[in-house]
Amino acid sequence: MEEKNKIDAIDQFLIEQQTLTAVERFSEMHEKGKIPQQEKYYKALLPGAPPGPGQQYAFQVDLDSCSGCKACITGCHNRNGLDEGEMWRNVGLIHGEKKFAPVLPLKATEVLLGDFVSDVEEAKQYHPPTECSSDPRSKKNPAPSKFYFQQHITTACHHCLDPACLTGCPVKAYEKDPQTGIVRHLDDQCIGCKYCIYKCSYGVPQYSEARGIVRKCDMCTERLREGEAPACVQSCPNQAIRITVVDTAQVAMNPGKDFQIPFSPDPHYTQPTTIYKTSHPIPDTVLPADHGVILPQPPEHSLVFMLILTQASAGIYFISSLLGLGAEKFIRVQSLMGILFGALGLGIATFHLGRPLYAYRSFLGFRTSWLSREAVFLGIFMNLAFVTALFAWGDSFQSWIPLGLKPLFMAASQYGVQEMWATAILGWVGVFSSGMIYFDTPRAGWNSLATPVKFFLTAGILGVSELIFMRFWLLDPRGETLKLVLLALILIKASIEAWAFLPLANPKDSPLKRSAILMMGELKTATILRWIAMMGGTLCLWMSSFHYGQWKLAGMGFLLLIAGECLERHLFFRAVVPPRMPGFIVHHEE
Amino acid sequence: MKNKLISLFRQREGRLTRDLVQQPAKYGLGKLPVRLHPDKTTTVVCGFCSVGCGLKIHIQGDLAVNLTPSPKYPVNLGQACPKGWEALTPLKAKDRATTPLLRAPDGSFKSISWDIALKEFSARFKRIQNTYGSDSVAFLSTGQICTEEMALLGALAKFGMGMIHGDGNTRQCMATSVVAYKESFGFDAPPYTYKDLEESDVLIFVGANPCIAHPILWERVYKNRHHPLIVVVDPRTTETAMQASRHYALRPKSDLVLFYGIAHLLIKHGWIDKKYIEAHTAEFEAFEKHVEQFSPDRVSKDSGLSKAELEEFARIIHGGKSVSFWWTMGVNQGHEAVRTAQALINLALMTGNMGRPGTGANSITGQTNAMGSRLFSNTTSLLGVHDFLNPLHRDRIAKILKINPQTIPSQNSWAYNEILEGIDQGKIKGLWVIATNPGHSWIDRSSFPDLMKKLEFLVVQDMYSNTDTAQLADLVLPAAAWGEKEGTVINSERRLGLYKRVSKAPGKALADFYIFKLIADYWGCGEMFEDWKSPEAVFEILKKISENTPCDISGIADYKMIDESGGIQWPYPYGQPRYGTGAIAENERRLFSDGRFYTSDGKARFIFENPRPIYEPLDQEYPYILLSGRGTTAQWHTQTRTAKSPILKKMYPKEIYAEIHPQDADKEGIRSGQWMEITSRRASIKARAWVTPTVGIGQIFLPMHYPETNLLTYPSYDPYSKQPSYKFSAVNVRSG
Repeated sequence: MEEKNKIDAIDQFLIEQQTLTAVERFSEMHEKGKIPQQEKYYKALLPGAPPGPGQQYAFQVDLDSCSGCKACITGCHNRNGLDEGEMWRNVGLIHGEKKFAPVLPLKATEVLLGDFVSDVEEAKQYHPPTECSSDPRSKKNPAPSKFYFQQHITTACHHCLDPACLTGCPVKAYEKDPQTGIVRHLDDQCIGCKYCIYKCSYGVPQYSEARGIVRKCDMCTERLREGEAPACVQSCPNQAIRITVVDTAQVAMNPGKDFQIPFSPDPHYTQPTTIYKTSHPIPDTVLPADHGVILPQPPEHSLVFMLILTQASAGIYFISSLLGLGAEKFIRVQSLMGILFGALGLGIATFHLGRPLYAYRSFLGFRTSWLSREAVFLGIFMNLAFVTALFAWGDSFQSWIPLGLKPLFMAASQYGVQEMWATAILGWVGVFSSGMIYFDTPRAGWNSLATPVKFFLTAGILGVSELIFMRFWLLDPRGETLKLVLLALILIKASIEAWAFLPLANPKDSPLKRSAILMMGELKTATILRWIAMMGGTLCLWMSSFHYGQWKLAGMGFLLLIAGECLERHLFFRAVVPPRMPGFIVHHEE
Repeated sequence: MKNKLISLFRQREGRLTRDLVQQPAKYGLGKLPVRLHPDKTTTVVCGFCSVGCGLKIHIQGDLAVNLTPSPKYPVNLGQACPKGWEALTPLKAKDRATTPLLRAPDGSFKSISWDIALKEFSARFKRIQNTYGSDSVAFLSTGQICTEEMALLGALAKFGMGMIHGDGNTRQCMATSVVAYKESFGFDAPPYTYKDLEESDVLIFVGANPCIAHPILWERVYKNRHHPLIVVVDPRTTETAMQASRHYALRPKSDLVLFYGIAHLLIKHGWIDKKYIEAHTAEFEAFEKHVEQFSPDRVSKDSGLSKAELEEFARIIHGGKSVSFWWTMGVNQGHEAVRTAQALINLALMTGNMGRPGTGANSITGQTNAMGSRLFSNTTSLLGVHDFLNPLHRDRIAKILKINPQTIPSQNSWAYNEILEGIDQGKIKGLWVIATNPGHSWIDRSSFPDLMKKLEFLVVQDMYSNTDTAQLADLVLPAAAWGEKEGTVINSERRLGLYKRVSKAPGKALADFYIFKLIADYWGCGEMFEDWKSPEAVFEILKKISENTPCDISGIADYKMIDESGGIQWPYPYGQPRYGTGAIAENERRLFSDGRFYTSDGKARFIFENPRPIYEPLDQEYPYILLSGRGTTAQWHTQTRTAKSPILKKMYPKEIYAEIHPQDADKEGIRSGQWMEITSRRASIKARAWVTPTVGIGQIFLPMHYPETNLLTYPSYDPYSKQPSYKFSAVNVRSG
């Protein structure tokens, strides 16, 4: 072939490659039908009538039919047009030993046992568990023993009667439909605070970094409305998932009655509606497939700084209010220090939000959400702090104040201490709300009283140590006595934190033990640094002598204590072991 | 204004909400997000496994935006496994090969034009052939490209370029079934149709885990309304074993003995179909005599199953009215695999479970077009299962192709392992690898890179330039993938299905068909393939080749007919009545309903042999059996494609994991989730321990999708099929 023809052939093929098959020749354009072609397969998987009063829709999973193919995950993903890697459904796995052979289908008992075993119960025990030799070279009884067990569990949002995501949301981005009971997420309302992820025991809401919001399963509300099956129901080759109608009163009376999945979270917390059915009881020896894996949670840097700085600020106002009576300079300096920490903390907090522009909505959930309350109280706290500072420094910019306002201003400046107190109290309420955010979750290690107590102690420790440091400028020798207070606070907090390691001595597995294992294992460096910083900081402050003007030593102590508290909070977020459905695939590197 | 103000605080609609809002789409798709509504759809057969599901591709303009499994396709009835659902995603991967790449002297790859690439290809291979002989260049092909492409490749390489040796990766999965069927039935003819899964009352799965490996076949089992008794023969308590009525956890590779023992019991109890044996089979008496030695005592000792279980197994087969036997890699990848497959065929024959609905000795295939490769790849057999050694066959093919019969080799090709040995011995100096990744998948692959270094020229043709094998290449040719090209593929039940171009290939990637055509031009044998204008033109040639053979497809008019029928099963000779559009029921046909087989006397053969010892027995140093196999439904083979889908990646562990029994883990001090070390005589690897009682005591299971697995495997082959025995290697383990 000619040289030129060869090159022409290449070009020709490259062009052809870029044209699609004449799809008109094959396309299914003629299929105009409005009725979904899949309908004949899923029709039987939908309830006959929509839920009436006192009822709601629920997923029903036939565990016997779930063979672990996970098509439900991709079916949901593709039919709903989800983002890359976004999963609204997940499939877990439990496994273990069971005592008896599978129950045979009716026909099988006839075929097999007609002659020599008449009783079905006896048939079940036809195979006693076999003793096994663990040595494969032994010819004695080398076969693997029988009747091992594994079960896949498909799971999505359980559309709970009392959805924790909904009550926790600070901007009311969740709704529970009064007719269908479906828990929906309003994507455009969401500000991306991710609190619902902490609140849900089942790991349902999925955060999207790109979008800055969470999204979740809505049971394909729009499909159901028109009699179409949800994507997962349509996509299960074995028809293991269906939609059913449940009586809410029954679920409420006995949550978890139809949700008997070992290692699944406590159903009393949110009252999930999903029904799991199985004909063979799950043996009690099972473990989740990811049982041996303990992984840290992702770090939450902005939340760590936000919490520590706002708590430092609240502590500064409180200690200053206690000690600052009448001292004008004292109030002036300390109100600025408080603002510095508080404003920085709240500023950093916005980095935590996926859509910080809409942060102003966060008061909406005040009635039910501690996150809302935190935002409101810390907001007021900071505003009061500004006012306090403004009045305290009023005479420095007297000439700027409009003449008419001057008398008011002068009057307000008289009440510096009271303003300081008001600020301090609001700060305290804010810190309490911060603590309650975590207290009010299903996460062991967070949902104990220790959480708000630790938060208050952080405020106290940083407030006191700030004053010990600042006494070099305030020329206030009372700082010396504060050292003892600091030592006391540190000792209390250290004991609470040390308490978290006690479960290590307990042979029984628990989320708290897992947290301790994490702190001693993968998070060891942070743990060690945390204790060094706390002890080092205390030591520096203790040693810093007022007489010799050792403010540098004191400053180092103060910074070390801040760093130490940040590390404590870092571990607080990373070492927590959230409840979840058992046996999901675990990704070590994430 | 008021609404706007309210929406500042309570925003129920907006950009983020709109993204997911659904409206009814056309084409019977039901509701879909509006932004994904197609303006046309067309069904394409999936390009992963041999189940061959129909995927309805949603097209906007000239962009494939989404897919849903086709509700009308007779294979999958509106369902797909995760790989099928994600079939479009690997096409969009950023690391697609987009231009030909040539290895520069400094070892790096340089982008070059097709013209230079093809000149290089021809010049380098020709130089090798001139120096070492024309058989010093070989090719390794695949079960992943279209039948027409395989035929063109085989014809080009052997008739045009003068190669003798070429094999496919189907050697790794299906060679055993090919030989077993050929010897027993007289032709490589899996006899079943998927409907049989719905019609059996006893289903026996051997070395098969369809719940994971072929989930859509399990869908068909699930549709069985006869309350079937399901038996699983597998060392592991697999997902399928969990769904079974009975699981016989035999000791690995005791399968041949077990099935001879079951035959022994069936004969002893008189549970055989004498009429069928008499009328339709040969060599039964010898078989009867052969299995006499396989007493329950011996079989129980070897297999680890109790005598009661053996009795029960035989009774189950006897009790079924329509018993079907299904096997896949647990049988095919063994040291005596062909005889094991034939032991199953024997059980079906002796009980008359053949040719009726719900019966058969049925091999489940692996790759999307392994079956096409078995018929038309021109590797093991001459095009259309003809014989290279038979001059009449060579003449027939030469006449149809209008070529000189002398250009057709009169000798058989080496098998895969022999080609690699040939490289080692310096007999093969040039290698062309198409759409396969032996650098990852070949048994005992640790020496593979060194082996490739012995070549003077290695060409890898693939859709990715970074596969384990492409990284070793001198020249990489960028190929278009499934969804970017046209042609037919054949699934496990012999159904021809259609590939269509529904997505544009990236950069300068070209369909394998075009690449082969261009190579023919540059090699100087373009005229030979003048009639091979397009895949559909090649299909016409294949029809002619198939005429009057068992796999006759001459009755298929064209691609459109395949498309409209929902695929067509071979044989489909000229004059066969046409199916109505979408009539699923009549579009399922099985073989041998008349009891006539493809042997010269029309009778099936009982073929048997004494069991052989395992090649690498356990000893003190390596006391554990290493098993390998498919891990999850979201992983495909060497993961070059499935690892490109973020959603699939979330569905399996990123790092290699090893299944180990709790007793063994205790003994070795291995903890679940921690690293463990697995050592064989060939290599040592680390894997995350997954402590689970579903794997047998003394056994370790590794998924084959991770590159580490085949560093450990012992290179042994079935003597007849030359298929690697991936299912038994001796290893040791310790906490690592």
